[in-house]
Amino acid sequence: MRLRNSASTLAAFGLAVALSGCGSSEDPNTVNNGGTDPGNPNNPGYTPPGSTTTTPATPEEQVKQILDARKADYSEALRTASLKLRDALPSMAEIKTIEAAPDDAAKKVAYEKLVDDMIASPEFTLVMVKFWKDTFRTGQVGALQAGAANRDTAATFAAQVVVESRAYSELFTQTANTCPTYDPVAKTFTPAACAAGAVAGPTAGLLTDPGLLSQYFANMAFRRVRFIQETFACSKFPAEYSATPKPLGNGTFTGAFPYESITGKVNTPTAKIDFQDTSAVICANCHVNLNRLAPMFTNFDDKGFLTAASQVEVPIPGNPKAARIDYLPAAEGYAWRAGKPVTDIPTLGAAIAADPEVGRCAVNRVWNYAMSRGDIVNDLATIPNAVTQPYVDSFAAGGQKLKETIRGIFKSEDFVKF
Amino acid sequence: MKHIALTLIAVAGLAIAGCSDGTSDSLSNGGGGGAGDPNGTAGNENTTFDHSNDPGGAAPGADFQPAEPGQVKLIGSPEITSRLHACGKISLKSLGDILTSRGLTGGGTRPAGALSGQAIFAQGATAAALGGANYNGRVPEAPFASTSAMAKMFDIFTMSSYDAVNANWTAPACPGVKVLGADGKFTPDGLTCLMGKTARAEHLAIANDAIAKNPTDGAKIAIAALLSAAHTCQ
Repeated sequence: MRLRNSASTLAAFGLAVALSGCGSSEDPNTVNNGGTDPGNPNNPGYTPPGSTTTTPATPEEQVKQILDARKADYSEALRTASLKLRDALPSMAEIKTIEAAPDDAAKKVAYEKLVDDMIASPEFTLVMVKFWKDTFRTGQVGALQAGAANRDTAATFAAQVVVESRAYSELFTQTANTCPTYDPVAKTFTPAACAAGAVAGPTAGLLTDPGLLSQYFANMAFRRVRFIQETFACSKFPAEYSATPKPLGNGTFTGAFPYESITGKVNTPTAKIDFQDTSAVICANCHVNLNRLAPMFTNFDDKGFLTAASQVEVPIPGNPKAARIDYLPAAEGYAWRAGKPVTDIPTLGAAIAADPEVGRCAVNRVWNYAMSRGDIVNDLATIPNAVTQPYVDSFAAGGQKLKETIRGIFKSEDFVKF
Repeated sequence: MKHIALTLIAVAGLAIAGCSDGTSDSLSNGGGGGAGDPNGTAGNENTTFDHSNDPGGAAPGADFQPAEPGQVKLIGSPEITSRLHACGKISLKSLGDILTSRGLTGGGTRPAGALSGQAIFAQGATAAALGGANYNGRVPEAPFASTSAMAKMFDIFTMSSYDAVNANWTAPACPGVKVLGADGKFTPDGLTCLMGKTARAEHLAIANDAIAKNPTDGAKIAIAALLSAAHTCQ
């Protein structure tokens, strides 16, 4: 009986505390569907506490009213920043530093100093390694087997580039030491070249990382290309759209390259895969881009090492190895995007590094991490351009240093307001 | 009664089925099948075919990204929601740090045979229950807590409460702080230490009310509830 009473009390108390933490109808941060509830900031008649205005005249005004109703809470901001920048709660001394500041201006100064300290701390390196492991969805599990590629190196290299305030573009263009090691005890990076395969090839940042290429090994190397698109451009294929879509078969062709520019039954009757098929969906919508990228990655084997011949298969009976003609007619060249031709992986890396959407993607990923919004592609956590545009601009103008973007976002008004 | 129960189960089953899109339209190797929708064009982990079925969507990178009307109606426009903190899951590493830095390391006196919060955390199956990464399967650590993760965290915090009420409790991150004062009531700094942010008067009042209502277990109940509530989100 006593146990039951305890359990009931615990449940009730937990519920009460949890609910109190969830806000109320007066909480301006509550954005649920409250019907006609005037306390719901999404309703046209919403009046923020203390405000004298009523119905906003425009959607922009409504957005401003809701956002202005938030309050800066540096103690809460310190807690969440500390968890995200060093995987730990703030210490009592740090909490007291914020508490002791006499006003919001002083709290802001104290908070921003603590954010700088966190980013400068050794623990930040560990957080960055984990951030990139989760972003790349790869990491070495268990001991490294003989002949296998280390799946930690990609995340380690990306973390090193961020921590050392190097340009983000190095992730695609760096030609040496792209497989560093990381000591989780000392929290230090040691530069190292990637293990070589049977054939020596150029190095282009993460694009030639054996661990990544091994992790995303699949038929026709399409999974490797999808990884690049979704991770660094933050969207699924189709990667781009024509300004003049054309009705075709049972759909609409929207590709930015000509429909006939990839392999299919129309131009290659013996095509193993008909990328010009239109009977169900318009394959070419995605494959006009996919097929201009994947052939560059076919010679990397299942362990991620470069070989002299194609290592990926075409998923048809017999599973033949994929050849360039399976993707593109002989006259067609590779490209990152329409108007951005490339010839090999290093030039592809340069094209990716120069793409402003890739910079935007990096900034948006940091924003989503800071605001706990999940993955921009998998969780559909897209962000209106206007929200992160200032950070995108400063990222581009400041030499693509993602560490400064992290610093800026964690000090932003949006981050410290709740 | 049996009919009602069966009906409820059937309705729940339909609801759960409705949650799946029947595809594995993701780079993650999450074990999703591809057989749910005969008209779907997304493949599964064994194929290379994985297509966008949203030709009406805006071009990636386009200046205008139309919001889904349903999303706007339910949770607000993207312009607003993207500027608000969501509720991310406490990472495994962070949870481990909370236990050690807050002195919740099994030093309390528990019922015979019961595991400490830290011992539960260290169990082999706990990482998966808490949404840990499975990199071999191309699955990152879950950004949001599942129901099982919430339940497991509550188990951990409940058993950790025995440590915090121990007279010898000390927290490395909060030197000199005691959760319970000489009067047997909670101290503000004690709650601040456990939550990682400044405790409000309301926190203190509710926690002390738990002690008043249940002198034997009230402090443990309050600590478990406060830890769970405070660390529901990052």
